[in-house]
Amino acid sequence: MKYLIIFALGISLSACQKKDSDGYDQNKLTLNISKPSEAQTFAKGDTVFISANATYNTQLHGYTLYLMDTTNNTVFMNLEAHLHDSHFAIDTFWVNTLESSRALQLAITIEVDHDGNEKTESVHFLTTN
Amino acid sequence: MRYISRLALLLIAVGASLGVAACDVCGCSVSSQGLGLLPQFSKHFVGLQHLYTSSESSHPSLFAGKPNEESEQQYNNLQIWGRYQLSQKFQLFGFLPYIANTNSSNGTSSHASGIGDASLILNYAIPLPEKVKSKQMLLAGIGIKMPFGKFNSSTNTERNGLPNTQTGTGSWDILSNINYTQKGTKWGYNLDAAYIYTTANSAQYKFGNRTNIVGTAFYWLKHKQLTIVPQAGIRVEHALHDYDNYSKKWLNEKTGGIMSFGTVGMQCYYKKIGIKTNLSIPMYQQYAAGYVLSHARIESGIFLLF
Repeated sequence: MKYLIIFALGISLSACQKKDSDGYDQNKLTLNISKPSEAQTFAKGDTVFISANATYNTQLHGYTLYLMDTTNNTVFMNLEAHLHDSHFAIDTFWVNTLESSRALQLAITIEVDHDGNEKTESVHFLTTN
Repeated sequence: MRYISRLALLLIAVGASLGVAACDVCGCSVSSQGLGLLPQFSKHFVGLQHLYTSSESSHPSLFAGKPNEESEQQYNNLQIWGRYQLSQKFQLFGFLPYIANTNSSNGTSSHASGIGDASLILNYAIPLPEKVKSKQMLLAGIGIKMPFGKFNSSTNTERNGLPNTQTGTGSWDILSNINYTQKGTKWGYNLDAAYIYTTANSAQYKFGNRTNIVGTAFYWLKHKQLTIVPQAGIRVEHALHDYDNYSKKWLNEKTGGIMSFGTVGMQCYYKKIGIKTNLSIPMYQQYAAGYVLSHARIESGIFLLF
């Protein structure tokens, strides 16, 4: 009888599951876009290097990156990544082939979880022909 | 009766662990390590059985403004299994599955097939007092599941498939089971409870511990050397949440859950050959935060007693 009780107790106890955090804490999520700089200007043919870092105290689930002209919502670059890590390093680039001067926005959104918690940072820069 | 009450106590205790409610969300795995109603106690047997099931999922996209992510999974498990009677009291069960799973999402399909995780379970026949009008058998066992199947890191889920549609878990898991059968002249019942204590694999992914409880009533029809055993019952399956990274305690609360099925089936024996078939229809399910819907399961197999 005692073995059955021990067995049953072991099963019941194993139902308790530890986790590293309780809910989204936006103060613990950092997202920094180091490149390009705010208001930086790029001539036609220039390469726009994009660099950003995100860190959190528990796992993140992914990110989206949009490079767009916010005056007419034209998207020039769109990346989506579904990853599981507590740290993302985003390093990519875009080559300016635009014929006209534009005011562009780079927006990066970190997806914290599947419940809609996210954080967005953006920088604005200019292109010239 | 005393043993029945002990077994009932155990099943209630196992059931008590069900209070806690697999992409991060999609799919549910197929486990067929439960013993269920077994062919003749005193003989070795080897069998081949096939289990098919499918599921569908629909859940909000991770990325804002995107439509829901829809997917369908199909699971095939073709398994060689058998029992070797080590002595009057000890029985060794072995399982070696071949897995073929498909996940279809947004017009693209990924397929995983190959040898799955093998298992060995040693069962002890607990002595029970003899009854005048019925026979009874109580088995308790412990075993191990070995990572023969392939598992790719969950950090590459989009490239390599969902954790639970892969051919293996990549982990060494501990299995335990208890199986009680009582049979009168015509009627009988079987209670089977199995618990899988999982460990983290080398990628630190840990599937949730699983509990399967099956109650089956059966009727025994015998004509000369032909035996037909129609049966019906209820199956309850519960899985704890998976960990995306167990060492960091990254609990994935969009996995695990509970399902219950109504089951109907039949076993037939003629001389040393037996066949079985079983259909499980979902009755209640709350799985993967309610985003996954499991469909019916169809199981069929053949035994060779020796």
